[in-house]
Amino acid sequence: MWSAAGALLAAFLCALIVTLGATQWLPPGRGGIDHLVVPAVLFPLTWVALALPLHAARRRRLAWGLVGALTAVHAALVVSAFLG
Amino acid sequence: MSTRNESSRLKLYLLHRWTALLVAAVAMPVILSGAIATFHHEIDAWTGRGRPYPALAAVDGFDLDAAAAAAAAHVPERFRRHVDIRQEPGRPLSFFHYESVPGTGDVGVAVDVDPATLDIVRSKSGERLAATMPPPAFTIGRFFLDLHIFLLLPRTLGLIVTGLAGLGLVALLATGVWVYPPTRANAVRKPRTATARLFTGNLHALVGIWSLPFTVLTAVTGAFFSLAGAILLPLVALVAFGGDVETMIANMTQPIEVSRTDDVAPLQPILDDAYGRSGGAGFSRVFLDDWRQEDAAATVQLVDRSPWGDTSYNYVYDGHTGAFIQEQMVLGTEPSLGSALFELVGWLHFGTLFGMVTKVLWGLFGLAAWGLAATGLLVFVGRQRVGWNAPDRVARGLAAALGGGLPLAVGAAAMTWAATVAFAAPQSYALVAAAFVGTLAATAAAGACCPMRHITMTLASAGLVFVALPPIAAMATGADVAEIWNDPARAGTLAVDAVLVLGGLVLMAGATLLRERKTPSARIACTAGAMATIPEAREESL
Repeated sequence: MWSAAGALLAAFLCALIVTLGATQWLPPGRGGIDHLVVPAVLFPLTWVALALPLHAARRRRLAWGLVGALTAVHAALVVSAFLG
Repeated sequence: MSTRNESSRLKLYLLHRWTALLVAAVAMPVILSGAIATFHHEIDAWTGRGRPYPALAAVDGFDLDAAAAAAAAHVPERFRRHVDIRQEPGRPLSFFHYESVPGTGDVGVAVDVDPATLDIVRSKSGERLAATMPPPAFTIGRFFLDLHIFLLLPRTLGLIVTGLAGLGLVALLATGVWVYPPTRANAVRKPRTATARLFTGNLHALVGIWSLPFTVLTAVTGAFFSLAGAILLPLVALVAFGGDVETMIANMTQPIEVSRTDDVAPLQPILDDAYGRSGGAGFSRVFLDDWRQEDAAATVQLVDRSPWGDTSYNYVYDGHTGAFIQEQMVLGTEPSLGSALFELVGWLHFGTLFGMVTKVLWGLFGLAAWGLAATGLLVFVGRQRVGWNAPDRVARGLAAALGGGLPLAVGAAAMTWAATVAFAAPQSYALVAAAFVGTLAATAAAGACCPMRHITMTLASAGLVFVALPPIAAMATGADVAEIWNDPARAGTLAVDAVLVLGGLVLMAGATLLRERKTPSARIACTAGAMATIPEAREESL
């Protein structure tokens, strides 16, 4: 129960960081909004795509490692946006 | 390998089971009220039948400038910079003059004007949601919208809670599909009726398979809409624009160049020009931004309503000269992936893709999703041992409240609305909300003993309430039934009456079906539960 809650919460934070970081590398498109709108619209799917492997993957360590790496890369992008 | 697979499946099964309990309490009122709110325009026309206000185009010689002046006379100068003018079908013309207060939102004065006489119907000041609360005759439509969007909680908290419920629903569906992969056999199998438990389990699988695409679409898009306003967009603004939401919004819309003279453009010629450009679409909304200021602009929103789909038009005009500037996109400066995706999300969530056809489908699928959650809860309760501890009681109370209690609470809210209209009671909205919440709480408390029997009773009672609603609403609103019958423009009122009676009969039929499926074990469980509450009986049974 607590493991499931931890995985869901961790997935929420990771999805949030990935969504924010994606605004830095996605192209803005012709309308100048794609990098802002597309990650936000896909946020629920990003969350569930991260939550299920974190909770129930056969190789949980690998899943946590991959999700952690993805989050770290996007967190670095978010930090660089603040500093830049 | 297979053990690992089984372990993953078991974990997902447990996640499905426990998320269902957590999510059901929040998501089911949101789902059911969403199915109802799909028809909020029709509900407004139904509730406002006593005295429907005419559409602007139907009023000979209507002058928007005169109406705006009448409304502005009741508004302090500091709120006159931004004005949101709108008319929902059958309602008065509503003006909301406001200023944006950081951290609070839009604060100002709402003034409703009768478009035929330009008399002030009512005026109220405060934060946008509270100030624009509709007159008592229209509170029931607004109530279901608010229940769906905010779950009757404060704005930001409500959006976060409904957004998290949407995410929970997405997780439920993903784990449900993983643990019980949809099969062709399950999709066509008639529910077995031998026992109530078998029947609800089979019904859960059948409804789940057929409503799966709809539930996924509405859960994903609903979670986006709720979380976007409360969390995502402010955070995106923080990362991409240093926290400046206004700059972000300015970047997400087309830039507007105005003439920057001292003149103030009259509104009626702007409206007439917009009518001409749209080919006769109806009035929906006008936004006056920075009015009487350097950057003054007017955005006119018209809607061409059709049974096969509504078409919206957004035109921007110079606030000084009244000259047409451009047709405004909802988002972005040019059509792109982001604007198309945003538009698609709106169509899919609100069921407006093909007008009334998709609205009816969305309403029916919404009811199916409620049935899915109700049968899922009953399956959960059926698998519990007959226990009388707190978690068992909570699970049974939830099943009773959300299965049969919800439709009864909807009926109770509608009856309370009728009573507040008939007796001109103040605080109509609060009374409607109290009736809804009170009925849910009462059914949860009463149904903690034996949910199936309780659901049977509450469904039958809700059916009776729905059948009784049309005549009671007619009496409460003082509407002349013969006049409505002879007015083709108000055919929607009769359609809503017919749907209510039909819905009531379906609920009563469902109650009869469940009553016939009640099993001896359910009755024994019920008796055991009741006995356990009486110390003497418990001692005797031991």
